[in-house]
Amino acid sequence: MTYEHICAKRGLIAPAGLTEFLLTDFANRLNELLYRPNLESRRQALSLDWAFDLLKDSAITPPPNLLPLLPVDESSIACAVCDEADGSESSADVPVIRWHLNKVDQRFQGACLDTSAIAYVRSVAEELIERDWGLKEISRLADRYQKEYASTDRRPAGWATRPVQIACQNVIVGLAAFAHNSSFDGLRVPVYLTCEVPHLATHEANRALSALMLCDAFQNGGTMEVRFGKFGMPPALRRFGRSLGIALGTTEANVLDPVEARELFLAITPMPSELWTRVIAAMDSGLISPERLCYSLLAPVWSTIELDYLLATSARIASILEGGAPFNLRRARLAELESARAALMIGMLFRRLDNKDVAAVASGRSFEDTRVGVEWIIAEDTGVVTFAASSGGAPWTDPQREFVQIGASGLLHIIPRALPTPVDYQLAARLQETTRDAVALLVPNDMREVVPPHVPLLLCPDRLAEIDIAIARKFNASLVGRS
Amino acid sequence: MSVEKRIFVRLPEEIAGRVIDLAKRADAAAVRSAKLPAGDLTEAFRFESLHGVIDQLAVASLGGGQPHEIILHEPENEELSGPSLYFRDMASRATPPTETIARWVDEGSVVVELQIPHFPGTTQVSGQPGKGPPQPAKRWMSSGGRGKEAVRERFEFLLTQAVQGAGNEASIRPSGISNTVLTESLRAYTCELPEQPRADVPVIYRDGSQGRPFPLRSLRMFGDSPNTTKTLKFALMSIRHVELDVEVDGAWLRNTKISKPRPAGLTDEIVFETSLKQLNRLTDNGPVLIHMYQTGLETAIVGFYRALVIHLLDRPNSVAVVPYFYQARGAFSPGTVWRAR
Repeated sequence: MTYEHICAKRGLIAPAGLTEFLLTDFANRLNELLYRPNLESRRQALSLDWAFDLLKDSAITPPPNLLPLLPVDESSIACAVCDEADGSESSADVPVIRWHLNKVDQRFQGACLDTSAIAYVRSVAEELIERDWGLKEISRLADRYQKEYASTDRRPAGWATRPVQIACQNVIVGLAAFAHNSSFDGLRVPVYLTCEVPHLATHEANRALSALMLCDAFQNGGTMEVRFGKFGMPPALRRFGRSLGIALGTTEANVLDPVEARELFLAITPMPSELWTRVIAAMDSGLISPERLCYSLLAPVWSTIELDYLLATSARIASILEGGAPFNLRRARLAELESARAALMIGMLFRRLDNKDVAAVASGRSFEDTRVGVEWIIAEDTGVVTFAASSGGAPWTDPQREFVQIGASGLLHIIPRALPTPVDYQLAARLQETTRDAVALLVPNDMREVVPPHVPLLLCPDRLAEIDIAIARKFNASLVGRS
Repeated sequence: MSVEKRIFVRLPEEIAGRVIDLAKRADAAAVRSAKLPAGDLTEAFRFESLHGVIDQLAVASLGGGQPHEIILHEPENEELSGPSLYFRDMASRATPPTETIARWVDEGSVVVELQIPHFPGTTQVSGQPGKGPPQPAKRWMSSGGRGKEAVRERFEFLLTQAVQGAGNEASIRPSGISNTVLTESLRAYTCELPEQPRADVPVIYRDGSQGRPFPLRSLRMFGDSPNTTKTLKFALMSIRHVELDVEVDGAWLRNTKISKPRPAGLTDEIVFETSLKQLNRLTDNGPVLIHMYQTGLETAIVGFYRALVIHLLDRPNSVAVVPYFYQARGAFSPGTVWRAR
């Protein structure tokens, strides 16, 4: 039996070249993983029939055109998405998705692993060939790092080879080593290893490790070129690139060149669509470099909502991202500070709204991810931020005023101002008249007395001076981030 | 995008005195800040916090119904330094922008200016639409050398471009360049050459900050050490190699003053100013030969040798410097002498 026979029986076209792949050395490397069409008994764990049975029993019913290729981890399978047999030619460019056998959020089911079945199985084989050496090498580098830096409390310079490890819920999902190399003014990455695990979204380890890698490349200056170790561009990273529609290693097999690095950096930096639109406009106007912007978000110098607010409401974004105007040019400085203060307060409020406090319901306080997915929209011409939150009392309400109650719509309109003016009070009144939603002015804690009593108010826990200190830290991080 | 406007608030008499006092203290902080070493933000923070209180008082007055005037933001006003307020004693600093504000000041009132970015409306997007982001950097390919040789090749390529003034690359980029390569290459390119004029090349660090231009192709250099009786041994930085303490006469720079998180260009400036002063003082009583035991901090190396070149341009033959580079296991090896006649 071949893949073609099995697919034909199911009315599907098998990916071109898959049967031939079984004859290669790469297939030998996947001996213990690849679902093979020539093993006929359903009782054999590596037979295709057995894999089809697994799919059939999965918590979410899969589409009928999936061809199982190999397990991704203990609870998901990589499947080629085959075309239905209609007389057309078979193609190698058959996408591969990850099918979870257990119940998962619909968003994570069927995520793209690769754009070609052959490229996928080959890259997994290459990855496994590299892995044994990689694990030994990272262990050697970690021992050396421990001896030279960690045990002596020395801070490594950018050119020192620094091992990094990414773990999620105590499971290591990424290992790598980074070192800036002045001979080509870029980052050398001798080891890069990742894996998929059941509790993480597809390619999340690659996204996290490549984000760390590119932030390190940015921090150390240089051209953003990344050169990999003796096995060349890591297969997992190439596969990740393909899943994002970015071809990596096109100029040289073991090199991520500055153009590819920029494209990858932008693709892996999470941005809501509105922020993305603003980022594109800012880049189009030559205001910011993509690398600085991605670094600012991932480092994070500014959080997503803070940066979104700054891009939406300030014409001074370039200066703010580069560390702000000199302090003694007070006029420019105040305009930048006011935007940054508003952004910072909005960021704090967002984190408060987006986090469910589990202390009241659990025996102890949990520090697991408790985000509830609050969304926001920023009105550019007024600087008003509208949150879509759950109904109930808004946090940070001033006890001496009327309680700000989020209604059934869940909408909360916030006017963040560190130095509120009568124009802002009028804006709050107008919003109250025109919407039935909750409206509030958000000010620093020591500005309560300034705001007239009829204006609905949320009080940021920090005072103006404390907010300014936090902003000074952000400005300084922008100034010395790349050093 | 919301619109930036300037609000001028006429303060009530009862707080005017307090605000003037705050403004004077802020002004004094700004003056003191200019005297501090580059990168020391102590007085800058003091200025900001004092002005923060002035702004809060102005906003409270505004909310309390004090007279105010709102005008559109004018970019030319951004260069006005110091506290942003107007009263008779400080009127010379900035001209009140409207007749009404001038009248308030003439009447003895204090007027605070607040540049607020949150007025409703649509402003023009800054930048030039269609200009696009800066191009990604070009890759560097060495001609086959590895390690230090490849670093030297790349750095000298950049220095050649710099002395030839070739496009955007006409700058010295010392970040990440090793101690030996940086010092020796800078020396080689500081030598005067018959066909090449002096080139004062900007120094740009990888954090984007700039140091003063470095005078390349500016000195007639000689490779032999002078016959001088006065030889002094210095560690370029204190603390970095404590084993040297018994060998050297002193440390040229104090680690605690230099190794601080701040833009590299500012550290370079501190090293430059300190070195220039110390070189002048040291050579007042005759020529000196300095053995400089170096660490690899680029800002210290560039700042020191820039000061040396400037000093030698003014007073040739007054000083010669032999750099010593740290090798493995605590050993130091000498580099090429910096000497001009």
